[in-house]
Amino acid sequence: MKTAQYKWSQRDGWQPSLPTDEVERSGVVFVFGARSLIQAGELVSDLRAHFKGAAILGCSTSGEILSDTVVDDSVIATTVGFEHTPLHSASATIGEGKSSYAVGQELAQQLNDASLRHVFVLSDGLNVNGSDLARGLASGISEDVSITGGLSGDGANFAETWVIAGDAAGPQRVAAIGLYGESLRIGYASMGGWEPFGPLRTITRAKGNVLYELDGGSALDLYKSYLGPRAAQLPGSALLFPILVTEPKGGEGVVRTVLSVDEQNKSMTFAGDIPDGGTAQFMKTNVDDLVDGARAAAKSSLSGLGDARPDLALLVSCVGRKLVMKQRIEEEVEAIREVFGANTKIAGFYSYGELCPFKQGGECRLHNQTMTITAFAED
Amino acid sequence: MHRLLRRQLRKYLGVEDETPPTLQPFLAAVDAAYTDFDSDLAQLERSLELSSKELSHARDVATKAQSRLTDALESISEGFFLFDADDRMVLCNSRYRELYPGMADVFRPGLGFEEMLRTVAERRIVADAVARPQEWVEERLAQHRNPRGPVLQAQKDARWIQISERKTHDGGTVSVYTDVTELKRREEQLAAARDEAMAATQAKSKFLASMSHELRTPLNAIIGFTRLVMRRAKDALPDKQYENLEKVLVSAEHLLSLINTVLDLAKIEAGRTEVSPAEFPLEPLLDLCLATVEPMVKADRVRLIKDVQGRLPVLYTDQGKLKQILINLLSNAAKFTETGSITLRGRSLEERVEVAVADTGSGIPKAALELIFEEFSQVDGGPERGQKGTGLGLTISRRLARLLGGDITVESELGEGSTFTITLPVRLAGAPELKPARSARAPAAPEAPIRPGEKIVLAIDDDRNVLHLLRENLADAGYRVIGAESGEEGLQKARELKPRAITLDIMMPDIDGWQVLHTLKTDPVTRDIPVILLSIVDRTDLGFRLGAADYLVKPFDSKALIGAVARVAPHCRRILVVDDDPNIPELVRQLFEDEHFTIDWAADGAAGLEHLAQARPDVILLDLVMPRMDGLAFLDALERNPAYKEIPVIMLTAESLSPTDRRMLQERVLGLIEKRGLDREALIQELRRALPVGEAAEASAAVDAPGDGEGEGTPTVGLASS
Repeated sequence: MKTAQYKWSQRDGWQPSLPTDEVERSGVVFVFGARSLIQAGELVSDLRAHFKGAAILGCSTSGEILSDTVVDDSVIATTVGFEHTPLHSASATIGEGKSSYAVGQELAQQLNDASLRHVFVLSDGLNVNGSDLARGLASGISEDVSITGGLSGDGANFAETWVIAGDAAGPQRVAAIGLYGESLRIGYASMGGWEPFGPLRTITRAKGNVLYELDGGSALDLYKSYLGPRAAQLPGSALLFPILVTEPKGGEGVVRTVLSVDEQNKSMTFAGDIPDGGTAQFMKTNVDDLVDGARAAAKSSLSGLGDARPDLALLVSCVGRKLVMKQRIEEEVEAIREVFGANTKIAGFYSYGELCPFKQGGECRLHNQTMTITAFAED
Repeated sequence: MHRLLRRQLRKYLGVEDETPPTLQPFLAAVDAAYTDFDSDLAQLERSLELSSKELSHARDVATKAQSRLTDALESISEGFFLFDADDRMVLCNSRYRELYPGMADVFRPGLGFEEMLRTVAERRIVADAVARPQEWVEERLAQHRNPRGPVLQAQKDARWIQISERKTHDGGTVSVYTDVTELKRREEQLAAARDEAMAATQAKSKFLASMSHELRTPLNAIIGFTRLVMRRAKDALPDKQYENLEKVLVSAEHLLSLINTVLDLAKIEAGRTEVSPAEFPLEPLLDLCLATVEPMVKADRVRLIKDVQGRLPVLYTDQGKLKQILINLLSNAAKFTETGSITLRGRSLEERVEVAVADTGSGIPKAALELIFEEFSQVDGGPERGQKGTGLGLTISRRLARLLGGDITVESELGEGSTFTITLPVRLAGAPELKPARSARAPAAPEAPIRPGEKIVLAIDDDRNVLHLLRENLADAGYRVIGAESGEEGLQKARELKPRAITLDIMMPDIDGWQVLHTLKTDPVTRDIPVILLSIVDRTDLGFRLGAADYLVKPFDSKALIGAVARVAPHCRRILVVDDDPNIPELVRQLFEDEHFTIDWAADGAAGLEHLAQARPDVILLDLVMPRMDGLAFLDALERNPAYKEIPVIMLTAESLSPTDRRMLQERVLGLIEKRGLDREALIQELRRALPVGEAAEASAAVDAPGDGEGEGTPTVGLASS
C-alpha cells in the first residue's frame, strides 16, 4: 500500500506540493476539509486534476486530523494506492421522501459483490438518520462485510455538510468506497470515554430521531437549564451533554448527540433513534477519560489486523470531544499515534456521528461522542 | 485577558498591557485555556447543583410514593406481608402485626419465612401446628412456595384467618391475611338456623300428617256409623231424626273434604307433591272425568257436552293430577250452573294441549277474577250458590297445573258463565322422546306384572282408546284389565291368563269377534271363562247363542259394564283382618255385611296363621306393625306355604314408607294402604280389587262430595250406600 498526505492551508497552500504523477492502479484520495474550502471547489478540482485515475471520497468536517495534529480551516488529502485490493466507489443523494434506510440499500446495491470486504462510508451529517443508513447498508450486503465511516461535519455551525464523491460534491449526499479481495486486512473500533450521571429519565415523548419530552417535561428546557449561559450556543453546546439511551426493553445503551433544535416545537433532533418509552441519562467526561477512550480504540482496532501494523488509519472522532478538550484535543490523536507507531499514516476528521460495529464482526451502528478508528493493511 | 494571566504577567514579567507581539498568539492561547477552565468549572458546578436538586426531588417523589403506598397498606383491613425472592420479609403492615400479637418481637425486615413459621409453631399460635409442628411448617412452606387457593388457618385463640398468597414478578410473595372469624361464626349460625328451619319444616309436615290422620280417623268413624244407623234404622227412626242424621252426614263429609283439601295444599306448599308422569291418551281421560261428574249435574236443566277438535294427543304428564284438576273444574261448573250447559273442550296446540271447562253458570265478578286462585277466597255468587267449599280447589288446581308446567286461566262474564282454560305441555319437561310411529294411536301401556289375587279381565278390542277406557273403569271396580289388540292375541292371552272374564269386540280386522267367541267356547281351556260382548252392532241373539255371558252395545255405560263384569266374574266371600286395632275389623264387617261376607279377625300375625289353618280367606287385610308377629313376618310365613301364597293380601301400614320399601312391599301384596292416610275410599278400592262386588262398585261412581275433590278426585264414598 502506497500512501501520501498533502495539506492545504491559507498561509502555505498545498504542503508538500501536489505531485504531477498519478496514484497507482487502484487508488483513492480521502479528502477532509473545512466546509467553506470544499464548497469553493477549487481545491477539490486541483486534486481531481492531479490524481486523475483515483477515486475521490471526502467530506466537510468540524476539524481535520493529520498524523498527530488537529487543524481547522484546512484541506487534508491522503492518497492511497492499494497493491492487491480492488476498489469501487458509490454514491447516492438524499431526496425528499427517501428514507435513510433506502439510501443505505442503494449504496449496498452499487457495491455488493462476493469478494467485497469492507465499506467505508461518508454521509451528509445533518439530513440523515445514521442508524437507518447503517441498517439499510447492512441489509444489502453480506454479514461478513464490515462497515465503518462517519457523518460529515460543519465546524460547530450545524448548518450544511458536504460530501465529495468523485466528480460531484455537495450537501445531501452519501458516498462510499467498497474494498475487495483477500489481501486486505481491516481493524476497527469505536470508544467513547463518557460516563452517565444524574437521574435516569424516561423518554416520555419521541418520534424517530426527534425528542420532545423527558419525564413528562420539555427536553429542550432541561438542556437549557443544564447549559446555563452556554444555551446560547445550541445546538453545538448540547454536545457537552450527550445522552445514554436505552430501549424500553432494556439492553445495551447507545450514546446520542443533538444535531439540531427546534425552538418552536421544543424539539431536539438527534443523530440516531430516540426510542419512545426508553430511558435517557445525561453523560459527562473529562480530557483524561476521552484520551483513554481513544487509546483503547486504537488498541482494539489492532486486534482485527492480526500481527500486521496498519499502513493507514482513518480516524472519525466526534465534534463533541473537541468541544470538551478544546486546546487539548490533539492529546487523543497523540495517544493513537503512540499505539500505532511512526509508520502508520493517520488521517481523519471531527464528525457529527461515527459509523462502526460495537465489536469486531458485529453489526454497524451509529455512534456519537466516540473516537472511531478504521485501520488498513495489505498482505 | 483573564485576571490570573494579567496578574501573572505583571508579577513575573513586569509587563502590564504592552506584551511583546511575538508572545501574543501564545498568550491568547493561555488566556483561552484559563477562560475555558473557569467556564468548564462553572458548568460542572452548575451540573452538580442541578443534578443534586433533581435527585433530591426524585427522592421526595419516591418518598411520597412510598408513604402513599405505606398509607394504603396501613389502611386496608387485611394483614399484608411481602417477602422477597429469597423468602425474606420486606415489609408487613400493622394490621398483620395485630393478627399475630404473639409474634410482635420477631418481625423485622430480613426475617426468613421458614424461621417465622417455626416461631409460630413453637409459640403454639396456630391450632393446627400445636400437635404436629414439623408437619405443619412443611405444609405451610409448600403452600407458600406454590400458592393455589386461599388457606384457612385456625388460631389457638379461636380466631380464623384466611391467607391468600400470590407470587410477584420478581419471584417474591405477597400474602394477604384476613380475619374471617366473624364470617365463620355467621356461617355456623346460618347452618344452625338452616338446620333449625329444616327441623321446623319437618315438624310441621309431621304435625300436618298426624293431625290429618288424627282428625280423619274419628271422622271416618262418624261417617261410617252415621250411614250405618241411617241404613239400619231408616224405618225405625222418625223422619225428623233421619233428616238430622242426614245433616250430620253431610257436615261430616264436608269436614272430611276440607281436611283433605288443606292437607293437599300443605303438601304442595311443602314441595312434597311428587309428579309421576306417564304416557296416556288425553281423550279417554276427558270421558272418564265427564262420567265422574255426571251425577252432580242438574240432569234435566244442564247439558254436559264434550267438544273435541281434531285428534287429541297422547300426553306424558301426571294423569292423576290432571284428573284432579279437571274434576275440580267440572264439579265447580256443576255446582254453579243451574241451567244451560257445561262444555269440556279439548284441542291440541303444537307442543301444548288446551282443555277448557266452559259453563253457563253464575259467572264471576271482574274484581274477583284476580282473587279466585288465591287461597281461601271464594266468590260470593249470591243465594243460588248454596254450595260450600274450602275455596282451595282452584288454588290447588292452579298449583298442580303449574307443577305440570302449565297454567290455568279464567274468563268470565257475570251472569253469562265462566271458562277455565288449562294449558299443559304435551310432554312434561324431561320426558323421554315419544316414538313417532306410536303418536298416531294411543300407545299400549306396558303391562305391569300380574300380582297374586288380582281379578283379571281380558279385554279384546282393536281400539286402544276402548282398552284404556275399560282399564280405567274396571280398575275402579277392582279389576285388572289386560288388553289384547287383536283376536289372535286375545285367544293366546285367554289361554295363558285364564282371566275371570273376557270383554270382546266384534268388528275387528283379521279374526272377528264371532270367530274369537267361537274358538274360546270350543277350547276346553277357555270355554268356562265368561265372555261379555262389547259392540256397536246389536246382535244380542247371536251372541248369546254362541255362548256369550252378556252383551253390551257401544257406547256402553260404565255402570252397566261394571255390573256385567261383576255378575259374570265369580265372587269371594271371606275376609281375614289381621290387625291389633279392633276398629278395623268392625268397620270392614259393617261395610260388607250386606254382601254376606264373613269377616274373621286376628289381633296379630301368629293368630292370623292359626285362623288360616281353620278357614281359608279370599283376601287378607294385614297390618304392618303388630305385637308378637308383625305383618312382614306373617307375609313371609304366607309365602312359604304353597297353600296360602295365592291368597291376595292388602297391607295396612302405620307409618309412611320410603319409596324403596313401598316398591318392595308392592311386589309382595295386592294393595298397599297407608294407615295414617287411611281413607275409607282407599280401603274400599283396594278391597274391590280383591273382591269385585257389584253394589260397592256402583257406589264408586256415586259422587256426593263438594267440588273440591281430594286426591285422585275420587269422591268420598258412602259405606255401602244402598
